[in-house]
Amino acid sequence: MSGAAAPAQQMTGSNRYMLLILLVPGLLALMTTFLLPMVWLARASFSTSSMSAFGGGVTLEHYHAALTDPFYWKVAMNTLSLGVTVSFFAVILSYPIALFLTRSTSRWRGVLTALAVAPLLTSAVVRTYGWMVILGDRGVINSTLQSLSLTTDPVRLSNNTFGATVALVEILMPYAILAMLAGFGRLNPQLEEAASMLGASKLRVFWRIILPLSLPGILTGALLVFVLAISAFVTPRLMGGGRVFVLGTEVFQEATVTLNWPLAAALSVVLLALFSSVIVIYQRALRRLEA
Amino acid sequence: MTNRTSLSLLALLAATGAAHAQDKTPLNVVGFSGVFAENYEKFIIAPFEAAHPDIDVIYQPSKNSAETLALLTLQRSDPTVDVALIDVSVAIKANGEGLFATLDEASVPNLADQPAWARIDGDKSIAFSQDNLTILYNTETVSEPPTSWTDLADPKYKGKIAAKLADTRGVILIPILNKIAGADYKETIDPAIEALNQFAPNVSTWEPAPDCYAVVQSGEVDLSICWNGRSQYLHDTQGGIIGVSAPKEGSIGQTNTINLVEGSAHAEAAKTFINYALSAEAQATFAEKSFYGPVNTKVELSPEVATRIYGSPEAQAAQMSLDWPWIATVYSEWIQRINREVIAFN
Repeated sequence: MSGAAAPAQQMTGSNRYMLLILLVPGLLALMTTFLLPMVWLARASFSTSSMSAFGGGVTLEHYHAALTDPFYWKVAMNTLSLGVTVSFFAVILSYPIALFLTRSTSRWRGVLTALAVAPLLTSAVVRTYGWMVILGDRGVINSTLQSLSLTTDPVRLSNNTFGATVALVEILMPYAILAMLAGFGRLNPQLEEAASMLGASKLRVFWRIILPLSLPGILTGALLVFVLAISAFVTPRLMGGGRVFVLGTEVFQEATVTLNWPLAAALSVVLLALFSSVIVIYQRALRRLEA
Repeated sequence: MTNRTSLSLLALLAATGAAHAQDKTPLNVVGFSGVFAENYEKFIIAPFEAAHPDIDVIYQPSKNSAETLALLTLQRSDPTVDVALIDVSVAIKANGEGLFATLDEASVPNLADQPAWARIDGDKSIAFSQDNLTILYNTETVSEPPTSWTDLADPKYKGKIAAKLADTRGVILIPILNKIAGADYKETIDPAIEALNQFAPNVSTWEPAPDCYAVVQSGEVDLSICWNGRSQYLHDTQGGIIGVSAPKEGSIGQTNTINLVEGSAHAEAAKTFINYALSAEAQATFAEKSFYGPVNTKVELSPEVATRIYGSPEAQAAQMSLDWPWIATVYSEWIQRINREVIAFN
């Protein structure tokens, strides 16, 4: 084992051993904080006992209740449409910023990048309250409109889907920017120069060179925002004024108000299934794009 | 979500328990947080400990009854909590799971002074206070306070009402509105749903943030439907900006119950404490200090206190109580109807 006799193979063997040991804490943490609760959640969604996940028999009634109720289908559709709208606007607004940050050669680039993602330093709850101040009935926008005599009654900008969408777009934009920055690796100024030299207009360069090359980044950003938006709970609840019914708020309602824990678990599993299918579709799309 | 919080709460309980466990009997009580916890410790627990030097009551505030229920479920085989104070609807749910022990008049003599409706599930959960649902208003923007539940539908309040109704608040408002319409809540709640839809267009938010009191205090809305005890407290402590207007048609209280946890290691001490908490003396003090309605039939309230708890003599006469075990069977169905037939359309 020891000394000069140790062949290279054994070295890699012990390296691998080391690697495993180093991985153990992380894996254990993942097991206890992620995998075990998932198993618990999955089991609870089949439980006949309303309180203990592992007591009681197994039943499909909660899935039956969730999937045969048109209201939950509507909630699922709300969730999806909120996710799509938020990712669309977050991507549209983040793309120019990310593109600028990638292509910029300014020495302020690092500072600007930090500024772009700085909102992440504040919690989503605080930023949601910020939006309540801006969009509320007595908020900045409404009082400006009224002092300019453009409106007499407050325009309802918050406590509805509009408010929830606006707040979510802003809150999730830094994620989109970060994801795009990471995904724009294939952008190459030389390709643009070559295209221009061959006579392509700026618009054409953007359309034929920049956009296709940045598409993987755009997709990653959109996926990230979409997943965060459909699982969002605090912002839709606070900005929606109770009028925005999405899966996140419904799970909370069932878990803490009506205390139907198995139904809450079943709805969570449905949400997870939604996530997974979106991720599968995304990976297919990405593979096709790169092929 | 509750798993981790419960575990840390457990650890905390164990730690505090160990520190106190020298010669006194430790008694772990889990209950509501905030002003309730403050008042309960000051006006119920402190006098009790003075009278029973051998018992050391450790009060653990819990964020809400759902969290308390999660904690009790988690440690059902080896409970560290001896007494739980929780909402009646949650208590009935817990009784379905056998989490609480039956009390009897031999060990808790004050049970005899509780009205029949307060002795729930065969003396497993005993109601000890009721916090009325009421209308609070901003005294600076509302010159003429509402006097009736039907005032909520007045067009002058358009966009000026905060009403969190997809929980016990809504479940309590339904029988009130039903009674105004002359209907029995056990037969139909359609009249109440219709009444809700009449004032729903006035509602600015169904999810006031941070809560149903702060939005009135800040002037964001004129009216809010919320609990009396906290409103009275905020009226007294926050410069009187929040006014409370108990509607003349009467109200119903959010009912809090006291429960002995099944398998408690200190059941004797727990029963002594429960007996004190149910006494006329304790309930009268708590009513005077926190404006929660008492349950014990021997409690005599001064007219001033009665007015601040129940409103005018007319409202006091119209005060109602509910058949909570029956309500528990329709609780989620009613909330579902409020969500789907009122909030979703407004």
